Amino acid sequence: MRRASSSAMGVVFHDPGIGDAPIDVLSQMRARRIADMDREGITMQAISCVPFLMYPDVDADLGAAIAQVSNDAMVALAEGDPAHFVPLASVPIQNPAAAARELERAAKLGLRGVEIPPKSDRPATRRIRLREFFGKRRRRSDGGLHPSI
Amino acid sequence: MNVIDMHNHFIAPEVIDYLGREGKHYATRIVERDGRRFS
Repeated sequence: MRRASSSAMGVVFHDPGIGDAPIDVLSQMRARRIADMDREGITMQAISCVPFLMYPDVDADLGAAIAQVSNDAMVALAEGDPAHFVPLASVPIQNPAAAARELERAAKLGLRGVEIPPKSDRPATRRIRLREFFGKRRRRSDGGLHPSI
Repeated sequence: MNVIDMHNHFIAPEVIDYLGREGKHYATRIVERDGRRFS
């Protein structure tokens, strides 16, 4: 099981499928991240939810519920420092129609793109769902597929 | 030159709080040990 050696915030998440992964907490992360960015010459960060917290394998209603919580919080992050952070939405990709609805809601809130979790289905099913999701989007937003973890 | 880092992750406290309440539906559990939170 992975431990949070890189988790200076002392917060670790564990998922039965993948083990522990570190997380940052909003109240502590902003200044630290900006200091890191300045040191490394980074102008902006595109920030998304940790992929396993998109829960692509749960019921779509649950996936939508946690996506909304995360996306609402991402808005607060962006509003706090739009010069440094570009928030990306998470969506319940297990239901492409619900995912498109949540992306629309998130875009209205100010999120500027979307990230899709990896390994949400068998490859063939995933292709179908992604095609349906991107076909249902009502507005163009930048999207990314997270690398496999 | 503007440099944009495209791969960063973030979990809001609201998400942690939500999973603290609803984690059973996600096969996720949060516990605290030695002042650190684990799940």
